[in-house]
Amino acid sequence: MNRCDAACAGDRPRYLGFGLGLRPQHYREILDGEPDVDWFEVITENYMVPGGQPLRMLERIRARYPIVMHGVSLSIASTAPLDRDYLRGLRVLAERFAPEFVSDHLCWTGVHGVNLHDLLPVPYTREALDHVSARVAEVQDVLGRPFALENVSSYVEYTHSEMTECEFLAELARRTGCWLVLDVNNVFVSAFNHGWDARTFFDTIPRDRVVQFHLAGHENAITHIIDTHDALVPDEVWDLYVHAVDRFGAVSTIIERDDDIPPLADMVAELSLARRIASERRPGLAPVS
Amino acid sequence: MRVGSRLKGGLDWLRFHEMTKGERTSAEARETPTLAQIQDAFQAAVLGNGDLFLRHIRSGARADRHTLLGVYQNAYLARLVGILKSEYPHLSNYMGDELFGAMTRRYLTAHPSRHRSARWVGDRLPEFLARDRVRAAHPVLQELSEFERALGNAFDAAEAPELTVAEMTTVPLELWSEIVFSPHPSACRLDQAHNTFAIWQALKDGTAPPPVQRQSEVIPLLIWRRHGMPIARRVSPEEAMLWDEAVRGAPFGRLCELSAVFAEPGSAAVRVANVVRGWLDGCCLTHAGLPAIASTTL
Repeated sequence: MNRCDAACAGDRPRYLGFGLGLRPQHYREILDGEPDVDWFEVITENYMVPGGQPLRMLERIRARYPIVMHGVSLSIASTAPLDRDYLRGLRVLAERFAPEFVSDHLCWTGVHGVNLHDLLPVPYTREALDHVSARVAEVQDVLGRPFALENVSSYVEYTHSEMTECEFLAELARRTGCWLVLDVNNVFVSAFNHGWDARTFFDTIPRDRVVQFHLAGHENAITHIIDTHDALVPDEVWDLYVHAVDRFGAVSTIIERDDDIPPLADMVAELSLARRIASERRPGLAPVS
Repeated sequence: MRVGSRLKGGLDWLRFHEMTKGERTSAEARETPTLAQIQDAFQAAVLGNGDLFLRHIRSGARADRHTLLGVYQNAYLARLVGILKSEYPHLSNYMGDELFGAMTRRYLTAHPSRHRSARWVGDRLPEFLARDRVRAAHPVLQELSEFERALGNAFDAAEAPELTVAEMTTVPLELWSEIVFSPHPSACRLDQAHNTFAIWQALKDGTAPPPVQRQSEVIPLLIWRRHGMPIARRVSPEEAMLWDEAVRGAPFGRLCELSAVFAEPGSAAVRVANVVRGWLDGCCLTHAGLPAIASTTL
């Protein structure tokens, strides 16, 4: 049976509206106020701890908002064996907090037991596609809930890749039924660094597999762009977001800030621009219930 | 991508066309690295062990491949040193960026992360500092790192019920001598040979830390989590001894005997009761029970 037909991938996650990446700096403001945020994406590993404040805060925030669990350590494309302990921990956390879906990145983070704590790109080969597809299926089986993968920013392309990144993602989604998180900034960064067309990337991804957009900022080093996620979403990424909204429609969206975290009000103000763009491009966009 | 383009530059085309199919497959296999080989080479390059990986990547649209690989190499250390800085904020502040950066780079070379979560990247830093060359000149650094690690561990230690004074008042008097205590999972005891706690306190308050002074007797500390936040308290040598023995399973009666040896015997039971009361008030304990029936909660 084609895995797209299998129930393991689950129903398409519902549309969540406009959210933010949850950061500890904002816990108090979120709980004390009523920020205009529809949902939060949480970094999974921050809550894979024995106990204490992180888990208590997440419990309180989860009671008021939908969440998505977004990991950085699954290392789905690594040739090292899947980390069963990590997967078990992921499942336990997901059972406790009932996220709308679980996501990670199409990347690898290390081999031989080492974790480089970076999201390293995959050579887009048939071998890699077979390898990642098999591991996605395993992850889906363990989690038993919708699972999505995100495109990473990359600085190198492999000489022996046999397809493009977007072709690889599209085929991976087709084979496994996994969902896709498209980081619009990452697409922009990789397109700039490698000299390919960012719009073609979006146009190659199947419309029905995309369940989330990320918006973020970067640093332009003239000859290449470094993905920093530590700045305002720049105009060129907003332009690309317009294209993404035109193609994919109502897709849950967050602004993801990983460093130089501004006050929550600033993040909410920036998020309102995403709302405005989406409502202008898609006037019929359903409100979040 | 067609097979020819993979072999281009690596093989003579004339020779390629003369090959049998089997030979071509074999040549292709030699030329095309496996996913595992690629990842081995990439990781080695990031960790600074050779540049064989360069052959597997293209130059970018505007930057050459050396520059682009350098992004990963530079980011690796910068990211992990940044993580260690956030795990050991006052140690890094005390050492300064240059010394802390050099020390943590040596640490990361000796101990590449094997943790899924970056939270634990610095878990072995105190043990590393105990052996590192910087310790000879600055012995206080190891104690400072050990203290910050204990605070970090207390912050996200496992949850456990907090044993209360009210619960203990229900214990029949005749059983008191037999009961043993279980510490809260966040609790940890440290001894410091220097005025490290005072240095840390000054750093935390944003004031100038006092000069390092070796103490005539160690300074015992108790560290745990209360109301969600880690706290540290300097304790007396007698309380430190009682805590250590209690954690090892000594019942209340034995604690009183030890206390009687430690100081004035006549008031030993009262002193131990007061210490235990302090632990209960501070939410340092999670359980009390009879050792003969290990799981029995009073």
